[in-house]
Amino acid sequence: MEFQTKAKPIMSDEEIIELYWQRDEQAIRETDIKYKKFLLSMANNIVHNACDSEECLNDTYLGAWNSIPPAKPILLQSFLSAIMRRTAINRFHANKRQKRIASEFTVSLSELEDIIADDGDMTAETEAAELAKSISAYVRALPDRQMYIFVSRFYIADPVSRISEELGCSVSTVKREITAIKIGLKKHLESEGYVL
Amino acid sequence: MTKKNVSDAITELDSDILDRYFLMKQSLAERRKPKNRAWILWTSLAACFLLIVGTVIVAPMWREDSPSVEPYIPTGEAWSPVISSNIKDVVMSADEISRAFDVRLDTTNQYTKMYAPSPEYFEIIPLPNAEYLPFYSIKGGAPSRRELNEFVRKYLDSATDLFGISTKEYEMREDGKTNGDVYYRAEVSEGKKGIRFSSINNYFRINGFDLSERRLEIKGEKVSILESDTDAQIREKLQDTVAYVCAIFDKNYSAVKISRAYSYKQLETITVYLYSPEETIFPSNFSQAPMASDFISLTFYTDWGKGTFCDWGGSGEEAFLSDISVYQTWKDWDDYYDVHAKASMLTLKEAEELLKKGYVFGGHSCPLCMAAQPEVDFSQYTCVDVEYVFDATGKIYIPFYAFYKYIGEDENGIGTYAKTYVPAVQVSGYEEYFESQKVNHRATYGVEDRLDDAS
Repeated sequence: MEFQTKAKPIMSDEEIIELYWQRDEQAIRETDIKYKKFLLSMANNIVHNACDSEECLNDTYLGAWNSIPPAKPILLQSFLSAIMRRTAINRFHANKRQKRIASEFTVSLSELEDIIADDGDMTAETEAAELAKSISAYVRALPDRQMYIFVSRFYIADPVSRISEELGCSVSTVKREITAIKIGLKKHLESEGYVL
Repeated sequence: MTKKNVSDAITELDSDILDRYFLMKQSLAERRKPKNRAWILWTSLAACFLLIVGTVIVAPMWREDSPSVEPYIPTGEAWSPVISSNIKDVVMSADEISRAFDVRLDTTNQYTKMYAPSPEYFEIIPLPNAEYLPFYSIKGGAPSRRELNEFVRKYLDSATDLFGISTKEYEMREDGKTNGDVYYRAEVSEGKKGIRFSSINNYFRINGFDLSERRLEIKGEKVSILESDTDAQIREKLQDTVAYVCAIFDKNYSAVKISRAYSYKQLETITVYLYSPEETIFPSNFSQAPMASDFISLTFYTDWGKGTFCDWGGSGEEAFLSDISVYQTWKDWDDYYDVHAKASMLTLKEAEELLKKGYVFGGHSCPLCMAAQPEVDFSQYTCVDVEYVFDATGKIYIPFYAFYKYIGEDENGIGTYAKTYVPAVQVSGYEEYFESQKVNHRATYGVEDRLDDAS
């Protein structure tokens, strides 16, 4: 049976994380009040289906419940987004096996085609972890604005319009920045010995 | 290297980068000022035209397979709502009705996906036999601290006995405020076991839990049933448990109803409701409508919490009792819910006409978003129900025809159904609403990006 959600004052991250540590199920409800909209939007950018997004949201809450403790995140939104990204991408790949998905994530993935040849899967886990480290190093060295655009576009899969609105600049400016970021990433990966 | 390799690597971005990103996001949000978005609206109008053309051409080429299935006709008697003569007659606008499904910022779809082995699992009942349908509203109110305290004292011994907790000490605290009403909750805990006494809508609720395993014990033993058990087998297996739980709370419930919830993967929960049929407002369909009577629910999870991320549940054959909730009305239905208005009920034929025109909620309205979902042809739908849905304020129940269409079987044999809603009462301003929705949605959802990407 579905019951209405009650509107309540929004808790701070610290208070919510404390509830997780106390194993208080109210933690999930408070997380829902504070971050549902952001997480649903993120899921939707990737899976582009309201029903799947809801399921990803539930899985994210369960992931948070199972991870805190022992985890004690500094920024809950950042922690939740990492879980949501994995969850939604798993769902995206599951759905993709059955049909094409016209999501923002599909578009952001296709943007990566410019810098990679797509010629063979890296199977070794160590190689994948090394690649993750290399990309992290590249993003970490970016100026704030470019780092923001990279994470928004390729991690959160936000539409370019939303990024431009958040940064207070034009869509074409963001697109130019994306091109520059991709060229920089390509050079960085090549310098690390990756064949693109 | 593949796109997937790069995407996976991005998924594993170091957390310090994400923290830096979200701190910047917060700071940007604080600095941001409202902007003139008129140009977006004009661009959107042009985009709207292009998309409608695109959708009309492309959509027929990309339709969800609609395998044929026999229509499902529910058994039972049609229900008739009780509406007193002084209730005013209203005609709500499509815009007002749409608030039951808040689609202003999120992507919209033609339908919601539902999962069940067969339509009977949706617990559909015959359509109402009525000239008018009521809008129910919530008067509000919450039990006072004293009232909840009295409830706790009344059931504390029973609850601690049932859940095997020796302490009788409980802590009462504020549980939040809604519309000026303060909600309280009281908790008893011992180790990882606990009991929560709280209130929700017109009910007091007692909820026992065990956070260590999430499997509750009754008289020192875990209780389980099999996913493959029939209703009759479940009733037989749970005879002792049901009798024991009813006796502990001094309830004489004569009816047992079994409800199953499915995900796209599997059966997730089996809930066993214990209640008195003569006291319910909607006797055979209380999964979709509030009940007026007290009841107890025993929920069995197939394998709750075993996996993480996408592996919610498992596919264990055994389902364990993980939640017992005792609901007791603290206010009668009539004191908590009100029939504040009525509207002329649409005939099924009229609703089918709206369905045909695409005036559906819950909800499609933007052709761009619809294009992300394979279109379903609802002309030969599988079954139809009248369902009450809360509006966005959570205060008014609005009646809708809910149309279900079977769209295929999942790889593990679970049926997949598309479900969409059409108002069950007379509503004005459909055309204006759906036109304005296209523009609004396009402005908020960044359609110009997609057009750029497409070109």
